[in-house]
Amino acid sequence: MQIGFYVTGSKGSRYADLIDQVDLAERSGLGSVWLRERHFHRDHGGRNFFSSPFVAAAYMAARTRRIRIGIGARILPLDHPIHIAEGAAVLDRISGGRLDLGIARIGENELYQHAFGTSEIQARGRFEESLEVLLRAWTGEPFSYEGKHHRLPRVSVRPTPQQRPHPPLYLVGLSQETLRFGAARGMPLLLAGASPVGALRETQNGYRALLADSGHDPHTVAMPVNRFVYVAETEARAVEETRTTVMEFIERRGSVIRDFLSMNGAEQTYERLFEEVFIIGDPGSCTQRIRALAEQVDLRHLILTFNYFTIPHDRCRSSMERFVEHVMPALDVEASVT
Amino acid sequence: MTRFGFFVMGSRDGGYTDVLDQVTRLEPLGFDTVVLGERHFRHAELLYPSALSVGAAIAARTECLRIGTAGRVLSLDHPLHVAEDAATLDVLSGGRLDFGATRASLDEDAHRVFGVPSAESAGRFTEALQIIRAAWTRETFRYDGAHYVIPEVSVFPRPVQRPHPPVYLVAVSPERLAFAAQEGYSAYVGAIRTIGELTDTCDRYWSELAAAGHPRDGVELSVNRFVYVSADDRRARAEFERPFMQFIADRAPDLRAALLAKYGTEDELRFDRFLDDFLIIGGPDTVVCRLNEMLSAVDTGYLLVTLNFVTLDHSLCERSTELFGREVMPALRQLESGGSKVPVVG
Repeated sequence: MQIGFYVTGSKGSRYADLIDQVDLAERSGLGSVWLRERHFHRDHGGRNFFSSPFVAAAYMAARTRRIRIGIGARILPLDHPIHIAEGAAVLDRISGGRLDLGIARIGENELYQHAFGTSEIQARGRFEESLEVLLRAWTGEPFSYEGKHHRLPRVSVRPTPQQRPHPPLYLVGLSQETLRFGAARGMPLLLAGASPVGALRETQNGYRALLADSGHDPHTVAMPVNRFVYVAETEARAVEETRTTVMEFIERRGSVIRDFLSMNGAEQTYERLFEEVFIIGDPGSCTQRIRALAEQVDLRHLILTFNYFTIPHDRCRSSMERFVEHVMPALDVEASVT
Repeated sequence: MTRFGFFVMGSRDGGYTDVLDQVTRLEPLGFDTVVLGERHFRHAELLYPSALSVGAAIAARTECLRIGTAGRVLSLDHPLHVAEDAATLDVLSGGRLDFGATRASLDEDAHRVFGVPSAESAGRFTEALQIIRAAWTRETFRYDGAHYVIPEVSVFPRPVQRPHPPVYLVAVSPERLAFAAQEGYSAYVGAIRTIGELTDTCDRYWSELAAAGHPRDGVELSVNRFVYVSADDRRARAEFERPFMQFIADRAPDLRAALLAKYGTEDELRFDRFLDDFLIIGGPDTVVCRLNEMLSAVDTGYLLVTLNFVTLDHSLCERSTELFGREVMPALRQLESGGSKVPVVG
């Protein structure tokens, strides 16, 4: 099993706290740290790294030597593909070839498209063209491009990424059309963190079938699963320390997490979330629950969310430390290779 | 006290890591600021198409070095991306960003590839600056311009520096410099002016700034010089002349065009003239004398030195930078604090 870590934000979201969590992940042997792209995100006065994942990732790459740096994901239609090609290559160079790049077609809401001067209607076409441009750009060879959305005169893009032919790509997507697009290219699929186990399994099975349809061996393509985790000293404390924060997190203003839960509103209780979505408990039960999950879904790659906006940093940190000390050794975690 | 900045141009045979390592050593050498350009495509092999990301990597390895751009090409990118990236770097560096912006790329290719005709760049630049400042300072805003239309948004994160990071404009022409002065922005002044020309340029900037009603506090006028330090004058010339002439001939079309505009013809592009007019090279004593002469005559508090360029061997860049940090900067600081503003001719 490979284990990664999503940097989001904790209560108060001091930047120093987030950096501290990344440093801890590096020291603790976690395989990867992942940053998302979001815009106009208000939680805690917008003190987060969402809007510039490449800039934040460059900072983290320069602070670390070992951990892989994941972007989950750049929303391709919002930026010129050449900027993304250049930015990813620079980041791959700065990190010494440690970049994993997720790509997405749309963000949380339509404001993204409107603010960046594009539209929902253009999103798919721009997404697909952008990926073609990225792949051509990273060869370093001269190319020109004639698409509906992008027309490029002959150009060679520099620098080239350190990883050849390019950093590993991951797809983030929900719609059948996007999943088909990714499967046709054999792309690994990053799964959303708030899905109940059943929905997770359905998505993985569906994607496997799409991969097989396109002639790819489904077992060689990664489908990293994202889970919220909280490791407490005892089972009782785990519940006590998360009951309010979890529900505040789900219900806070502007959150879209409810839409991803695949449950109706009445079902979105702490008990159901505890059962289906979050991995909460003492070290022993967290280990058990991860093992049980591994029986039900492909869990070769697990990306954990230790911090979410309503949990205080010190609790998040203790939970991470307990995970590293007690849970990780009990799982079959691959030594990370860089 | 004069601020010393290091302009990153890359070096011959120096990879990304070499350049980053070199920048990391600037802080202990006593430099105040590192300044990054933005270049694309054939010029990006050793320079940086993503200056703000490189700035973030530098921020992670330094404590107090300020990090400047000279400059983000505003017309090539969406201003909200620029505002978000710059604010993120300001946050990560603890408020060490000097945000330098420029209207157009020196390279017409960049405008063709990003689909922004250089003719539009002036209009885009003006709108982008307004949008970036609004994104940094306003709780929410909307924008309705000729080039950008933005619905009501709140942009995050907000920069650490209040009301926002200092804004520098790259002033390649008298018109650009006048614009910077009128708007109250700091500015970068190019590298090939003689001391006499610099004196006039700087005086004009400060008087236009005052005439527009902007206080001098918090505004900087940065003067750029090519500098090379070696063991002595003879060796400095032997090591520097050929790579510099090669740089002008093959690798710096913008600089070559500016030199041709200044000197008229190909035949006039002679190293001895450059030496008389703007290059500052030699052993440490000579470099101290010549820079002191310049700093005494020119009204600037910020010297930006170019110690590396892509045709000069990395090891020579490194040694020259070391000598500048260990011998030249301390001597200039001492002359300045001793109140010695009398030109010393070397």
